[in-house]
Amino acid sequence: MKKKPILGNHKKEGKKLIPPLLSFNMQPRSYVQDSIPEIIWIAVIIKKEGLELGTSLAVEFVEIVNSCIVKDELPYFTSWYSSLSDEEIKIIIKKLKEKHIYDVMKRDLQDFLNVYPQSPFSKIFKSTRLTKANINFVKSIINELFDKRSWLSTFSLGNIMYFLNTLGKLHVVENSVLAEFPKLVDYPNTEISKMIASSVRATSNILLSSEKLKNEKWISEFWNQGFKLEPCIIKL
Amino acid sequence: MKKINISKVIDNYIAQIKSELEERWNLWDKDLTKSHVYEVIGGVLSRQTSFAIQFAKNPNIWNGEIAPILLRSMADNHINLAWILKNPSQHSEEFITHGLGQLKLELEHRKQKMQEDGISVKDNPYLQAEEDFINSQRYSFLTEVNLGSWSGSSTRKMAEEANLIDFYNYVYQPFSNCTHSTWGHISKYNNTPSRNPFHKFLRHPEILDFYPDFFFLELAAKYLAKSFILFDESFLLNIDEPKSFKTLQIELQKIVDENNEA
Repeated sequence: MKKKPILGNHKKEGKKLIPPLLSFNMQPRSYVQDSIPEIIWIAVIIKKEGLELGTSLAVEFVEIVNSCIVKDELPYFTSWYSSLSDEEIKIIIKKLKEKHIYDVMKRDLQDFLNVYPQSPFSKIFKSTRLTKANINFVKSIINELFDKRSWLSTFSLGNIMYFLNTLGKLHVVENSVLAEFPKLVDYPNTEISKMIASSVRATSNILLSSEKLKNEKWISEFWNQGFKLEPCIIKL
Repeated sequence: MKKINISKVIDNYIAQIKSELEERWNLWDKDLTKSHVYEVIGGVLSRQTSFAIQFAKNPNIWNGEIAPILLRSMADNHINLAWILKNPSQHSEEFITHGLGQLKLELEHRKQKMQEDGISVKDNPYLQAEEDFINSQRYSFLTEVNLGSWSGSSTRKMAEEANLIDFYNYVYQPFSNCTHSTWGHISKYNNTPSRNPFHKFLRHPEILDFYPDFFFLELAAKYLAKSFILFDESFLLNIDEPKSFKTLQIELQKIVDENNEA
């Protein structure tokens, strides 16, 4: 019997064997590097308030910001807030205070704000003195977000879909798995919730791509700030 | 044959090169959005240091039969470093992609062999661990396999472009004879002409006894020092020149002198 060639589904280009997905111009992107800095604020709020209250708070926040400022992209990712003018910031703060969510958002985001005083959110909510507890809390959040399939990652990414849907920017095709979005709440205990989570992850790849968000500055600040606070010092 | 104790010299040398690697890594400013650069260059320097440590700890390999195998790997590693430093981001990326591709290819070969031998590849812990290792860096289904050299050039060409052609000619190439067990090496180390005129100089197998030669240890230390200096020149750290090689030379010379006097 003729031996099946190794990696027979790969395309040979010179001395390289190219996997089928790369042949379709699908480039690998790093969820860890590019997405965590953008979704961490949602994860922090969920962690502080729990899923139900945290989601309500985050949605209300995004709705208020969106009602104040109109941009091409919706305000679901951290770096969206980096280009706000002083005037726009004043308007957002005023509105958040009127709706009585300014203080609760500030309280929930305090660890994050203190660890990342240069974060785009610091224009709206001021940071205070950094403590070891702030650092430990943020480290624990990042640790959970490293796993894209973790409960916290799934609901942080799921919140983005929920924002877009609430703001009328996400139209779900009938019969698609996302049409059953509310069943995500059971993740990871049911098959349907796992299917929805998978769909959320796939969609978030597009919604959080660096090409779309043009967020190199914040990504660099985010990762290098943690590294500055706790450098990787070796002792051999 | 006289016995001498060099363990203190060796221990000092090892401590010193570990500290030199540590110092370089710890003082090096890093941008975490380009982790691949630090991982590759730090890894190559760590490999070079580890070579020197293993070399220093094993006097039984300080001979022309075995030492060049490791020294050639050190030379290879040094040429890689020089080439990577020419364009750290792109070349580090290529180095990683090639390395992961080789792991993926190795894994596919193993899977095929297991299937041919009637062994199930499903839920095999070894295969799973290997696959997970590759996936932790880049999904294996998105990893290309490069059957050529990692840089796309020969080692000679890389050395030439990194201004190391002399190093290539005088170090890498001669030591390749030993590494590849060519006639150039075998005829010197593994057989010898018969002294019997009836045998018409027939070369017959021979197993030589070797005694540790400091020369080879010094070479390993020298190549590590070269790599540290190359790194220092590239990143302009506020750091002293590595002293471990010179210290080792002085200490070894002292031992030689003391024993010649005795």
